[in-house]
Amino acid sequence: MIPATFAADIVGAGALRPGPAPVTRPAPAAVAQEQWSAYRLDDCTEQSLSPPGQIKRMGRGQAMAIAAVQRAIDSCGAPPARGSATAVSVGTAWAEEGDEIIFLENLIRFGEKGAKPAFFVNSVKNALASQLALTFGFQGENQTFAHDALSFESALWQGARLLRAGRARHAVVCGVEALVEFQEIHGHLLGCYGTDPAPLAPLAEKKRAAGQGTLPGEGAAAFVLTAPGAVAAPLARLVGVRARGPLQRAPALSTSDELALVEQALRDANTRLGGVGLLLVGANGDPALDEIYAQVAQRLRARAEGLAVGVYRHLTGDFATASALGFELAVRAVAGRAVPSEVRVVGGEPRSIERVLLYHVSSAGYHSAMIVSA
Amino acid sequence: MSARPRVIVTGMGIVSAAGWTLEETWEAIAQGRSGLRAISLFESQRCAKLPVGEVTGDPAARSGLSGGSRSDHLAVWAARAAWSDAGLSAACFAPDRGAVVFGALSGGMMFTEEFLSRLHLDKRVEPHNLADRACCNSADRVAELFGLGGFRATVANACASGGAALGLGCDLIEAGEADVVLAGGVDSLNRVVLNGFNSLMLVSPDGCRPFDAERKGMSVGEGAGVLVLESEEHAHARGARVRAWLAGRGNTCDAYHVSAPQPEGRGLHEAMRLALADAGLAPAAVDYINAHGTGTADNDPAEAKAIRALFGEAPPAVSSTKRFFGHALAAAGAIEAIVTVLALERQAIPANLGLRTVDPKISLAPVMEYRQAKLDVAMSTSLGFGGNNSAVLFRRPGTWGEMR
Amino acid sequence: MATLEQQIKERLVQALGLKIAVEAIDDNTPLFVGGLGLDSVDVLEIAAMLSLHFNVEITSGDSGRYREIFASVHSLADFVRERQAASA
Repeated sequence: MIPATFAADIVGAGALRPGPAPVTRPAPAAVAQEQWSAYRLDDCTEQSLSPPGQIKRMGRGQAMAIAAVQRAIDSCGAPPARGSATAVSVGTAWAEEGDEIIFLENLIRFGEKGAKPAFFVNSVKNALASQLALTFGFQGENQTFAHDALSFESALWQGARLLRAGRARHAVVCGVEALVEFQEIHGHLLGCYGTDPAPLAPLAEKKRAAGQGTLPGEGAAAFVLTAPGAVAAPLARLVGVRARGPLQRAPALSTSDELALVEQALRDANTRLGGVGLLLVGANGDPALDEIYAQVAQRLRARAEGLAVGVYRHLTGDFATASALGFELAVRAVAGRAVPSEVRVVGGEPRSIERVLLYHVSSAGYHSAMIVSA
Repeated sequence: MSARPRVIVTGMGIVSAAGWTLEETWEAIAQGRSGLRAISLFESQRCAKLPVGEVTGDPAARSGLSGGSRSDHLAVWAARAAWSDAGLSAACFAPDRGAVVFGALSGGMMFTEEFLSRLHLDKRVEPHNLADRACCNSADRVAELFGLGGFRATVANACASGGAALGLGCDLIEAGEADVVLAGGVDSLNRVVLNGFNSLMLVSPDGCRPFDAERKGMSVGEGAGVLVLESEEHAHARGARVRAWLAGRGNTCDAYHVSAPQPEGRGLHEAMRLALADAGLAPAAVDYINAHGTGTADNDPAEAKAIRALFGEAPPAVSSTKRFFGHALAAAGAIEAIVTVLALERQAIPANLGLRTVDPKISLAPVMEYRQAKLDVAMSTSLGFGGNNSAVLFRRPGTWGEMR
Repeated sequence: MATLEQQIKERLVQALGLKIAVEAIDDNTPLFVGGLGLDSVDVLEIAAMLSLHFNVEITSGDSGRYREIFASVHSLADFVRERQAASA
């Protein structure tokens, strides 16, 4: 294995992904179109996702996070212990915003008498991380990162950081976003999404029309991390995370800046591009953003012939923490030494995969590179 | 363990109901003057008479930031003050080595409120402020302003966010990932939080009285606190003034209940213990604790029990300063950390304003009057919904050996 | 017209989003320990529901009787009837 200055072993992974195609429904009056589409966890309401025997209502994001973490734990040889040796690190841009909107709508409809206390409590953004702690009994360091497309990467970084500092024996890291109607309205009004109901086809020949943007989605992915070497046969090893925000609003994205981030991430991880089998990117079908992704992929492929390029947001839709679902696919790729069949390969011929480089950039200019190794 | 870089506070900036500067804040504390008053930021029927910690004056006019939410304006004000206090300039660090970690909760909640109100009541769609409602915007605005191109995060740990952000700032410096970190917290008043806490029957009609026998709850507040953190090597190399050492921190989760603290304060106990272990100090070394002390029925006894359990029969001097500026939510941990550093600098303990008679069920004797004291080590604690706990420990310069 | 107990059950399931059929709640099912497993925040949610939909306020003067008032659907209904009679 290539030694790395920054590493954590991934010993468990699990994900909840939306249905294979976007769902189209009548749109509310607030947006200027009759129908709208989104990738949804089909038929997965918080009721069906809630742990069995749970009578009390649970927020949808909470239910998704718990289900993902349970899957990650189930995939572990030795599950993380209850108590203070297990830390929790959640990345979520909006947490349980659905409950916040319900609280606010009741306040507006009924006046201050309509304030619903249980929904206020749940709308505080650490509701997912604290519910995970409550459900699984994890009492170690508990952090919620809520910074748009940096959220999951920060959570991952912190989990690895804690383990290296010896402040936890296990870190449960989760990236989650539950689609909320208000979020969809917000995205449509700000021009992120369009009216084309077709499944996303990132980096495909046939592109979405200009101005069509992408489509919203939702999902959750969770990982159990330990310090490197703590377990005999981890699924994979995280060897680098580099995530940065822009230094101005609505920045002009440049291929050279993007390449610089990727190159620096490779240097941080002491990894050569030649050793990377798969470049997995968060291209979301938005024509303008796809262009940047295509240029970056092309330049990287020119330097490393063996590099295959894959996309995954045709499975998830677009949301700030979708990179967590990409990460789960990367872990599976390394664990199985092969590209998972759901990933769509858009360039190159995948061979045996020992290393995956994930690269993400958003229209707002947040970008990240993550490297997973066998 | 001692090979890791030690973390220094080289600058601080603050704004709250107690004032717009460090001086104004400390003057209010020294004079025992509460900044709580009835809300003027928006209309309310049920909450109209509840004392809140509202910042007086106009943050939008004073921040120098064009556009953005109230939270953004408060954050930028405090960040500018901290930057200037630390004597920083762009030359002090490479862009990729400057980081921002802010605790936040509300963000631009008022914009969400306004949008939904207009939609429901007038059927009008006015999206122009929607882009400014995310709670991560404040950190972004500060990063843009000061060219902080390194690690960037918004921590949303409810009322323990500010303290958690400081701990994360330490993590970055110890990991060698940043030379300068602007760490802190910001929050602003809005209808959701005020009505939210009020619907939980947690808000006092006569202003918070932490640890008091007649306490009736918390007072919701707002504000921002920003601390500049650097490694001692980096601070020394540029001749920065040391305000305090950030010597230790601890972060835990009760895993007990969504909003009530574990009644024995066990999670907080562990956070404080971790902070002491981190600093390599025994409990007896602590001279002052700036407690979370919100004045609610549940928080105060749990916190008192945690302090007694860890510090024993003769705990350090304790006071909660929440009656000066209210419970500033995600900003509280940062604002109160600043007050804690000021206490070390001024060698004085803030009074537990609002306290008349200690609750007989609480075995603590908080400091009732502002007084001078020899203080070398002080701790700031925060507890949040969901059981998040944070403890941050500071040492006065000159008490931790020579600069290395 | 549904009984007060029935109305309260429906409002309870709706306000708290309970994953249980209205019919499955007995008038005397304990709301808290041993029954539906509600907690202190749910008490406040129920209080808000009573205020909004039944125009009945729980005041600090009632705090000594919380356990009694919130014990079951039946006790909630009795409380509502008591308050409505008092204000008539």
